[in-house]
Amino acid sequence: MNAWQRLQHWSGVDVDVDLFGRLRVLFGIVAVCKFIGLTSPLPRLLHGTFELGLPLHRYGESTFPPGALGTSWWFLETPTLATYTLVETIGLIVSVSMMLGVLSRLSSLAVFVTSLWLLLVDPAGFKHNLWAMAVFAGLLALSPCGASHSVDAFVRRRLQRFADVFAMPTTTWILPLRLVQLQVGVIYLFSTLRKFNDGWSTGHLLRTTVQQMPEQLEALGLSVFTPLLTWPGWYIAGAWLTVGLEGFLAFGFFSQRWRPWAFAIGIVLHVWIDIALDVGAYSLVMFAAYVAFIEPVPRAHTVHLSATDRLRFFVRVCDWLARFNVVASEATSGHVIVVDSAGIVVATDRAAIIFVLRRLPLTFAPAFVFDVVDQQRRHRAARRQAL
Amino acid sequence: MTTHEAQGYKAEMDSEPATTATGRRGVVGAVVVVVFVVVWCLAGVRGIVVDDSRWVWGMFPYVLKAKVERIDFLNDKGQRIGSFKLPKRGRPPPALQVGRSDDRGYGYGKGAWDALITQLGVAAFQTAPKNTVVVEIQHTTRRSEREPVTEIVRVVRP
Repeated sequence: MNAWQRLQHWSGVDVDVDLFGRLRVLFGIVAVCKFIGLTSPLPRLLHGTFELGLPLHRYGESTFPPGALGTSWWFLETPTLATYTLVETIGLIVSVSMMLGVLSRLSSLAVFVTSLWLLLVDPAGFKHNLWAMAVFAGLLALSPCGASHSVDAFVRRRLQRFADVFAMPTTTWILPLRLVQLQVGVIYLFSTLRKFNDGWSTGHLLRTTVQQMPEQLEALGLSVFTPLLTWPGWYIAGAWLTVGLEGFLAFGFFSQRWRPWAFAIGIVLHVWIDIALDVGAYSLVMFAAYVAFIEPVPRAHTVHLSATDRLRFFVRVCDWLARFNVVASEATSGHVIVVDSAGIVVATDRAAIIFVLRRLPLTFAPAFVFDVVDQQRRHRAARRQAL
Repeated sequence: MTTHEAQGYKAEMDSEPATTATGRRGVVGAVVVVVFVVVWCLAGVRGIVVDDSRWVWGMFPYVLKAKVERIDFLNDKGQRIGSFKLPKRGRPPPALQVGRSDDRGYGYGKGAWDALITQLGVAAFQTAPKNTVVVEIQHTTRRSEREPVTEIVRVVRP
């Protein structure tokens, strides 16, 4: 199979609609957080700028006279404060609607339109986190994102009793999901390329972005670490480390081998960004988009274990991404077995437990680190034995 | 339990292919994917080349490199604060030129410029008494990376 055929297969297959439903819920939550101001809470709490609103009207930071600066696009007129407030309120309503799955595709499209409009008329510059959120919502509007985990699906299931025309699709074209994945790669790629300049590579910009860190440390009673912040080497190293990590994330998610590393690095990077900087909904948007890289086949693995195994309850409660079927059976004789959809046993016992924990959102990070360390230990032991 | 035993335990499990490809969808999908990537990458490259953060993805490190080149852009000529509206389209009059005026006539790193001016305006407006407020900023342009330039911005509270 050549590259073109592989690309056709990659973008042409059908997948279960379940993943689109989950993505819609997640991006709906992110949009609601964005509209009520529940983003980057820690730095804003420390700076005393944290505030919540329903929605949070921040046109020109509220106190600036509307129209003082105009928009930065020639085709847009500066709106009045009343218009801006109205659109922002609509944005919050459609975000809630998207989250709950009421008229799902229309809601997603409305989130796209309102976010885009608010972005373009914003006099305070271009906010990439809002742009990313708008694009992801727009891509979801192209998919049957209301076919699962939604009020739409619930209502249609009820109506299906009366006529088959109300039946929801169970599978759909994977293309919107692929575009979401590519969008993540593009964002990281250009975040990396954009940083090859004097401002970033000398650590100057990074230093400026954390200039209020001493005050934050003092507020946390950690002022003993303040002198560490004066060494310029931190900022140069941090700047280049960020370039390296973002460059890796641009491609790492697309490799099955490196994907767990990309998840781990991405989570650490965005948690750190959200602690140190006020970047709006950027981290939340990217976390939601990461879910697009979870295998698009829900319940792709089945965990067989005994009815009394505590892991059974744990997996059922924590399997938010619907990755496992859990089957309780005494025939397993106390063993844990993971089987894939083709009926092939993937892992047993200890390996099976690690396999499961690595795929649950809550336990991914510690299980991943444990697995890597454990693999290294076993690798060393095998080499020693060979010698 | 060995893998072989476990395999035997679950031998009766149904097996279904996870995905199925369709011919026409494959071609359309591949074309859409290629176009999507090319268009987005071109937009990103344009943003980097013209130094306009509206076209590039990710953060824009030139925010602090904007420069107020003409003091009279924000000055008090008997006008109110709302008068320093950014020029719209085309080449602005010389009195309103900012940034690298020789090539674009627009601000230096458009999003960066807007953000900076807004921050200045908001800060000045919030803290201003009824008289003129003077804001001093120090910035560099790409041309004078190593030579920060101090500029004075005056804002009048209406």
